[in-house]
Amino acid sequence: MIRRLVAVSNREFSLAFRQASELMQPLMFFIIVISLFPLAVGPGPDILQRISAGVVWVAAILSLLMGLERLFRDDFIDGSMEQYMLTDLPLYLIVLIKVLTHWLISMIPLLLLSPMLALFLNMTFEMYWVLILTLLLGTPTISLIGAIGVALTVSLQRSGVLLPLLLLPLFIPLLIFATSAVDSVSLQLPYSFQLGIMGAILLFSIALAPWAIAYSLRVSQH
Amino acid sequence: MNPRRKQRLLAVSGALTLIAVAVGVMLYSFSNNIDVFYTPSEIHNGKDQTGVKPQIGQRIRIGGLVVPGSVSRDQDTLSVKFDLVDTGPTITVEYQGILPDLFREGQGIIATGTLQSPTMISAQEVLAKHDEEYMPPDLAEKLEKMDHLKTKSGAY
Amino acid sequence: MNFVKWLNQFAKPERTYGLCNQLLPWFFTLAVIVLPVGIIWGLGFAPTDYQQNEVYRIIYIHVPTASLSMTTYVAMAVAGFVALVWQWRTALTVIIAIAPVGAVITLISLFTGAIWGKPTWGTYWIWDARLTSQLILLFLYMGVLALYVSFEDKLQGGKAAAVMSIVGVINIPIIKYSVEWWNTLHQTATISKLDKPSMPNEMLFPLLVCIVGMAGFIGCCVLMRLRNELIKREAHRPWIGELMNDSQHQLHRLPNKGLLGILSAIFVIWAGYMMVNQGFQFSSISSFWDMAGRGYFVWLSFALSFLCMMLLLSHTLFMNKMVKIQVKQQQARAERILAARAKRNQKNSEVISNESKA
Repeated sequence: MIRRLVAVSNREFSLAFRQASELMQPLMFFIIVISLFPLAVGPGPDILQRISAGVVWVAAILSLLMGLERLFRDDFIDGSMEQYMLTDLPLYLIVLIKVLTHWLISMIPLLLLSPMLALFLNMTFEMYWVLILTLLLGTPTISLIGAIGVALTVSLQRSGVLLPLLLLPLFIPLLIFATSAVDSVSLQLPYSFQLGIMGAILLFSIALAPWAIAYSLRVSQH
Repeated sequence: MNPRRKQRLLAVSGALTLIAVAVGVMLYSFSNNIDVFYTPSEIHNGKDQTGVKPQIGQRIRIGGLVVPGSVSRDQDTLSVKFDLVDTGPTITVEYQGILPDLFREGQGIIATGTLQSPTMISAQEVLAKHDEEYMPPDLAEKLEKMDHLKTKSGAY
Repeated sequence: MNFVKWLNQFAKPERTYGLCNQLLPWFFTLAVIVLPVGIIWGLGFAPTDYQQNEVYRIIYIHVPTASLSMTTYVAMAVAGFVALVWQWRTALTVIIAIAPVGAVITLISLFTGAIWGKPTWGTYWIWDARLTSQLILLFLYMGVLALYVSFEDKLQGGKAAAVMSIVGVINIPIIKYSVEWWNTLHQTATISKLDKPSMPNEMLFPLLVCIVGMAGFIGCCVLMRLRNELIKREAHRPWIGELMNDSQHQLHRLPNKGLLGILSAIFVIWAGYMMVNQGFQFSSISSFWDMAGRGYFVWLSFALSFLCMMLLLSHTLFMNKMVKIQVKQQQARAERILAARAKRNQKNSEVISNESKA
């Protein structure tokens, strides 16, 4: 069984790298959105430092959502999703693998880019380090909860802004705790509470989201 | 047991384990004191648990009680100076702007700004706190003593 | 187990339709008798607040809507859960009946809160914990609605909305907690005036009456919308045809009106007695209108809420008319098809008989 799940993940990787341009677009979006902010609020280092965590997080959520939209679409259109449902592998494991693979593919470039953004936004090293931690803990949750929304809307021809409309309210807690953790470290205060809560939310979503995703996919398939 | 059932049992128990761990992590984070500011004595001596001492020039948030009689307002500008105290030494806060309505001597307040010298903070933001949830116990006790003063003045 | 069995009978749309008709008069009475009495009581007869003066009277519309908006969302999620676990299609229609009503109620609580904020905080909007989480609740309602509307296949759309409402209801406690935590961290220097204060009975009774009445209004709208949805979804079924043509149909049966009348009479007498005891709080009608200088805020919030509720109600009634017209058209079409088929059969048989004659 494990070998077959690895095969699913391998398939995702090779598909993703074959369409490298699709992979690049959310990334470009991320960088451009972040570089808009200094232009909008002015290049004062103090104010940039104060808003940096919020800016990075909002941009990360939006760009992840953009990438997520394609998570099930191709499989759904060419019928491989139906094949997945017919195998004796449980669907929730397959979607969990798919979501985690997608997260790896989209997050690692984002993390690699982030030192540059830390320079853009005048972050200190400690802030940067905590920001990376919050991104590592928070973005898998975004992928998992986001995948529920994607699975629900995958059969719609024109989903447009429906996906962000559905999902953004659900990401508010992550945004609050992540930005507050970075703010705490900039005030030299402990931030383990915020990280702990984010970790707990992540574990909850790993436990529950795959079922919801699998069910939503079955609803969409009918 | 047929393999399908076995698989389902495994999955459900896996999910339950994850949820149990999540609840554990959450309870653990709640059990630690959430602390969101420095008290004046912590600025002098360093944080209680970690001993971290703030450096001059860094952004800092301080919470404490306004020392009665320490508030001095500039006649021409909006700038104001006051001392904050918890159990030990005091810290002076400088602020330019309109103070919140609830600001008064003896009141617990929270200020965010930069540390100018070991005992001086220039604040960008001053908030009056009316819930003492985040206060350390000895400070909360002090606040409680002030509480009847607040209600008498009719502001709350 | 027996309970589940008893509940299961409502999986049949006819049963649910009959139940709607049985319950509707109760909720209707709550909406037309209890709610107005509560509001009049609160506006004119409840004592003045010592701190906020007359402007606090917005509480009699704000708190009922705010406290019921969350309950309504939970009810919607429960319907979604039932629909998914026991595969009830009628429970799916319940979600679609609840969502718009809940959204309107949340909207009312939001703008009455904002109007209340102006005289107390000096600004219409403040990122207060309650207002913020109410705003997010409105977003969640809109998400469920938008999701349902974008599906062409309404059964699929209903299922998607059910999943979404369950995901939302799991998230609500987390969202509420995080917003409150965030708010205490960034608390501005104001007293939270929208708190439900501990209040004396003279203020509390009208508030409770208003909450019950508002629940009646919500229930009334939900039941009417549920009836519309049921008719729309089952339009091709024979029972709908029978129902539309037969005004004496047993599903149209209403509950015993005598008991309702007696209960509402008792309620009105009790409320009237209490109000007379408390006495009218204003010296004249013009001072009542003025509300100690805060009349603008009080009357604006009540008028806007009334407008929203009327819009919701008239939309529901309009939908009812449209759905009935649709059913009639469908029936007429079916009859035309039958007639045409009969005619053709006749022709065919004539031809055959002519041929056989020849």
